[in-house]
Amino acid sequence: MILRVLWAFLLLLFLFSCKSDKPEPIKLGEDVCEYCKMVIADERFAAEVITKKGKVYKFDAIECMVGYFNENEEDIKKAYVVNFLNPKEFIPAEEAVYVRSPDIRSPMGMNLSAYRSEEEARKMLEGKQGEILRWSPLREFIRREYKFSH
Amino acid sequence: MLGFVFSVIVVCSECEFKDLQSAINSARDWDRIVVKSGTYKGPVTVDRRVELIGEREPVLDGEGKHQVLTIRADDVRVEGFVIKNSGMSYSEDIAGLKVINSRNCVIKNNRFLNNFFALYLERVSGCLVEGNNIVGFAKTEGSSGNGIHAWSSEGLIIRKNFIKGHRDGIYFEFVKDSLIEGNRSEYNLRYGLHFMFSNDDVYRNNHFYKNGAGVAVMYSRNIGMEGNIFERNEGLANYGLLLKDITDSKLYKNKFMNNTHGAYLEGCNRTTFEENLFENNGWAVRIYANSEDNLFRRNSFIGNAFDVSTNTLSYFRNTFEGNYYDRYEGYDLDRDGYGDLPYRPVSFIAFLFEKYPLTLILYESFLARLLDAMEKLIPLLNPEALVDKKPLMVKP
Repeated sequence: MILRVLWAFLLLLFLFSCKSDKPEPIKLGEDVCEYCKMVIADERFAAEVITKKGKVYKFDAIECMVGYFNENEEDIKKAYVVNFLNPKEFIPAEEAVYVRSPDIRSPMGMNLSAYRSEEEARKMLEGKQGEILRWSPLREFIRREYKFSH
Repeated sequence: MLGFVFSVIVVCSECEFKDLQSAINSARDWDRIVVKSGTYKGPVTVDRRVELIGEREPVLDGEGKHQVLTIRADDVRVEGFVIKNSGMSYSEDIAGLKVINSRNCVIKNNRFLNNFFALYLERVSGCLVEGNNIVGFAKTEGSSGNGIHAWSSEGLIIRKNFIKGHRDGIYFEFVKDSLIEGNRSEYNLRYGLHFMFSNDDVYRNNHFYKNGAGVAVMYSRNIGMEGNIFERNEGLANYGLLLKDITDSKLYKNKFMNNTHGAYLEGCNRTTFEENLFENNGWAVRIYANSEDNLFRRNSFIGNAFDVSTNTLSYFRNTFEGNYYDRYEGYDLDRDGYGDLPYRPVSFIAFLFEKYPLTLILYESFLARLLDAMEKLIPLLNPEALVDKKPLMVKP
């Protein structure tokens, strides 16, 4: 009997201890960006990281998430960005395709948005100024941009 | 503004002009167009110097499809209209009323209802926005533009407006030499008022109530903040006032009441806090590293869980001098109005909570009180700089 309780207890512990690395939905007007402390009001530009300890940090803009990522890479398990065309959907940050365009203005002024595929990104850029970026060049770009501010 | 009017054109369902656009198209500079009550469909564009005066609240309706009213001329006045149901477009920042490249406009006593952006000022100078009532539905729909949005503008006066239910109530980006006065901004999704890259502005006697967070001033210089009320910003990580990367500013006689954090400073330098009231906040003031040379004088700290909190003990370069703290238990034997013992606004326990947020469950526990009591006798680890040597005995 006691053993059984113990097993149940251990099982519970096990269940509680295994943190998922699934992104959490963003609560608009409540969640605050970990990097710039701004309240998140527009989910289309938002992003998330999940740390190795299972903490979830949310960001109001891709540039903030990348800034945080660059500074805390060793603690991060997974990073996600919101699909600009489907704001309820998260895309793993390293798989997403990014657009930087002055015609799509993001909350922190770097004007980055994320897409599922090269094709969707190209379509978005049609008739607009801007460029397409992948994850590594994006990190490099933010590293340069934020060198002096943080 | 030149005061004379060449002629008056009347718009109504039985008049010669039945719609506003045709009246504008046949108007000359300085004409006045009077619109009688009724519903008129947008979009309408104003491309010359005219006054649009609504009589008994005529309605301009964008039918959820387009921008309702667009102004592209100087010296335009819009008064007494109901402007509603702009379309929604993220790519074009659609608004109920958009003013572009214009000088000396007057937007007065209108009602804005259910627009994406309500009023959008783009490269505008010397405009008066007064007495408007602006209501959006951001809280229910979850996506919305700002109530009064000003971009790359100067010399604006934003006065006595009521704004509710947008993303930011008032948003200034690259706006200089402007005044925001006597507005009430409430229940907005993000901020009651938000500055980005805006210098030399003043906001005073405004009331910010129950917004996502009260006011955010970011990447700005020389902002005067006076007589405002920051109230009930109660989310988990929410602020009455967020100051981030700002310098040379002044806060005078503001009230911070019932916020999770009263004021939060990050990268805030050379800013003076004088005669402000911090009452019933979780953290009255939270100062983060890289905030330097800020001065706190003659402020009152009453009924806060923590008066001041910081994340740095080694390097703290801000001055607290002659403030009133309700927690101060010293005495004033020499009767000079200042307590004879210094006060330490950052308690050890506050610092502990800062480092290990989960320990918050111990707040007001026996252990925490013990630590507090001990600390009065033996200062534990307070940064030497974080001492108010002249705490006031009575509230200023």
